[in-house]
Amino acid sequence: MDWLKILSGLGLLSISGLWVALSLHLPFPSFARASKVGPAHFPILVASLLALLTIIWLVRESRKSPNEREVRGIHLIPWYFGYAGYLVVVPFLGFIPATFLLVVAVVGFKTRGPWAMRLSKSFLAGIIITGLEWGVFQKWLGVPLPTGILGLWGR
Amino acid sequence: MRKAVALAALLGILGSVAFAGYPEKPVEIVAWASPGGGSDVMCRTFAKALETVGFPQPLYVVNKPGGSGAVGMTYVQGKPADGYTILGVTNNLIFTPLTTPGFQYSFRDFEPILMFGYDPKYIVVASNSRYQTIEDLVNFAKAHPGEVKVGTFGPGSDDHVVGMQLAQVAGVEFNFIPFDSGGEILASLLGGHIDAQVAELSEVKGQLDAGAVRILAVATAERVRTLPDVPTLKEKGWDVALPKFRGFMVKKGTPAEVVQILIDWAVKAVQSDVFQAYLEAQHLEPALVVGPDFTKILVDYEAAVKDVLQALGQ
Amino acid sequence: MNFWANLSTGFSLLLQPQNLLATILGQLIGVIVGILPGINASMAVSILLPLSFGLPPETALMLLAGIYMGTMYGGSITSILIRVPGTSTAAVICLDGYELTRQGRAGLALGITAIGSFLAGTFALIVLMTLAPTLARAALAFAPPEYFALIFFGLLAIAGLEEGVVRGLIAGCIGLLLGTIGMDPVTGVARFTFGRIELLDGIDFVAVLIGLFAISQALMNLERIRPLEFYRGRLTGMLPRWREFKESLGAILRGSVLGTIVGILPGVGATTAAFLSYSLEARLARDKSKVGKGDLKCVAGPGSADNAAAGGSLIPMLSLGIPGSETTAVLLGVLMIYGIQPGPLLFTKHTGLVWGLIVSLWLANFLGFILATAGVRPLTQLLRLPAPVMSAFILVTGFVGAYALNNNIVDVWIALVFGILGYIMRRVNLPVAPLILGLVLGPLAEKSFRQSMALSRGDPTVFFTRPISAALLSVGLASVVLPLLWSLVKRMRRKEAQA
Repeated sequence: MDWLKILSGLGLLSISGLWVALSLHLPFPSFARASKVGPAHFPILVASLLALLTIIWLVRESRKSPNEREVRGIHLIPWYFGYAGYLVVVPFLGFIPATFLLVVAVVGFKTRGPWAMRLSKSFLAGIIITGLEWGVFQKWLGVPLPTGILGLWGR
Repeated sequence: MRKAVALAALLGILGSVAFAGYPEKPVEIVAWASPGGGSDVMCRTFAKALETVGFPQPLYVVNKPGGSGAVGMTYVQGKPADGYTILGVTNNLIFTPLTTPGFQYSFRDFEPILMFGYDPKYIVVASNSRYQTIEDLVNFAKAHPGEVKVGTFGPGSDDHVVGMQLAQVAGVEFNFIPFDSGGEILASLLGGHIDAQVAELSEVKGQLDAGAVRILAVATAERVRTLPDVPTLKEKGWDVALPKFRGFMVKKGTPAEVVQILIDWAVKAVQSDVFQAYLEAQHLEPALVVGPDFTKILVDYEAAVKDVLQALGQ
Repeated sequence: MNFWANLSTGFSLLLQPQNLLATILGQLIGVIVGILPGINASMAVSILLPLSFGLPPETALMLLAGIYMGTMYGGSITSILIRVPGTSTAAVICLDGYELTRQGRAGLALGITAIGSFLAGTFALIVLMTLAPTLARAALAFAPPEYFALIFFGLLAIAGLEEGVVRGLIAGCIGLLLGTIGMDPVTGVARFTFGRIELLDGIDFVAVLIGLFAISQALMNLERIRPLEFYRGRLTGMLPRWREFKESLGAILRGSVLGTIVGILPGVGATTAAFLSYSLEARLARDKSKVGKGDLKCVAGPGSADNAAAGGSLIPMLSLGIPGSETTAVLLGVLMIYGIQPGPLLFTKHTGLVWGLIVSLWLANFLGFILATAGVRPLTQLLRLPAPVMSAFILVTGFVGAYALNNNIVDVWIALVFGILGYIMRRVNLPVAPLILGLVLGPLAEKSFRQSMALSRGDPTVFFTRPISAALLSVGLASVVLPLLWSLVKRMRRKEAQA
């Protein structure tokens, strides 16, 4: 059986456990007690059901032969970290420079060809995408995108 | 000694230089509702009114919805106390800190600019209801504890607290049914699924004009100017007066001079035609309360609801 | 007779140049804003409200109602093309619409959505013109028990969505659990928020969708894990052919009726309508293995239902003054700004205004259809962008779309977490559609269940003593129990035959 399936199953079981444990400590305010159903009942019901289903699932999967087609994807982890890095950087740098850098990095890394081409392509994409999103959302619709700690990239 | 005086004078000059030019850059007005919500309309109208009276800098409304105002309050607290971030407030300023466990801010972390008016809270029944007066309703509830179904805007909301307080001082028990929107409550009232609701006039005015609902009482200290025939709960012997006040504040620690400049502009804006039309259209009761007097109202308000709200959590 | 007089009043108002212009402009802006993720119809109308300042009330209303209708058309476009929901109402279209794009049939998905939207909008407007007061009063019979029965009906679909019942139910339960995060709707108790005020209002399902779909998809595409994620072949079948139209006509009609009814109800709106329509189509599908993998009906149904709901929500708004959705609440506010008191008297006191609005909605609906079909060809050309540029564009759009929901970066972090979760779920072969259904419908189900229990003071028979809820619940339960019994009987017979 796939190690990730076992891990996911254990994760689901612990989440169910966490939900039940937290639910047991939820108060049931007196003004609502006439309804008999409190804030804890539904989460406990769903969490128990989830735990039960997860066990069934794990048991079934363990009986299956492990020759299922698998999706590879260990390479994705750096990209997730990269995107997380972008989220960390945005509030400090501001939306415009951080987004420009993200686009340049993504397009630059992933386009083939001579480096001058890659550079100019990625810069062009960076300018267009960043400008488009900023212009439409910030300028037109007034979405207050992060301006950075220096506030250089405001209105 | 002379040195100290000179230093103080110097600081004074520096200080006044620092904000002599206020406002020097665009000002942000924070609405703690999504676009279209009550507080959003209030902030956008205020921004427009400031513009029409000639506020020298651009004004932007920023929506920071979430947690019944908690996100908006936190956002303003995260900004410098320089008067460039104004928060539009309602009585959630009192309720949210009391009902949100672990929330670190309260109205004491803000400096009042002004309160410009309030929404009175009305006790409303359908016109085919058996309750003709507020006494009918309360007496029935007294004889049949828990049978009168009162629709309100969600637990811990001002509607709910008005109902809870009435139940408390009149010694009765209501069955509170929480809803997510005023439309749902009104539909349930007209459909006969609930017996009464706590509402603002703007929510029920159309039905009132059409004779579909009846207003039994209002939860204010004095009778309301627009509906002088509606008795207050207070005059019936139940001291419940919790209007939804509306106003603007800045972060605590904003220089007094800046606050004063803002107060002057805000008073002008509130008296403008644009803003008066808004008050009229939303059926708000105008009440201009400036600066520290607003704080006094907040302190009294908090004292009035603290017990009820703490009882809510048990 | 009165009807025709009213109609002609409406037309004469609409034909005034400024009103005509307002309708067209509103529709155009609406489609564009609808395409932009993170901006819902109600937000669009309020943000663009200043455009209407200084206009006469009917012109302003036509402009804003045009924007409202337009967002319904625009919302599904990004859902289909890049799997980022343009509006929450079109979110469910991401499930099957994007699969069609992957199969090179984006034009078909866009086309059928446009046609369905047009027919559904037309249906809702006919209902609005002929039956508004009657239906608005009938809708008042809907109380929490009926809402619960309706939502429960939709939730039942979780079990039947995918071939693996257990896996579907696990994903559904994950969605239901996520839906319990936030302030409890009945008591106000904070549940599972871990002290974060941003979680008090719950997890925004659009952020979840952006993460599950857009971000994980864009990243996978970068690594060329599935080279066919963006279709590179010829984009054939620009518009649906007659056969495909006939295939989805049933779904469009069902979506229209369901959407109109849900739109009239004040407690639920276009988003719920689209999700309910999806679950209805998923359950009716003859070939269940196609659901979630590019079933045209599962695009046509929800694509129609949200437009019908937008039209339907105008019914209680105009005839009773009760908003049927967030956006109509904003429109009611606009009326009040102009000193027009919405309520039961609106139809009689402001006949011209109401009928002018209705007629302009017809025009808006028609224009939306024209724009959406004309846009099919150029929009599908977007898919020809080089893959890295497309991925970068989706990643940035995902950021802005999640951020704009609450103007808060926390929602983007939520999206990222769900991007990783989506990737894990794909690897361990858990379906994501039930998760979304659970997340959207779960909180509504819990709330209406507990409201009902409050109304009845803890008596659960309330669900079966009321005719509408009893009928809905028994149909729902029967549709789950009967097939089970049927398969049991079949198995027994087979055994007998063998013996």
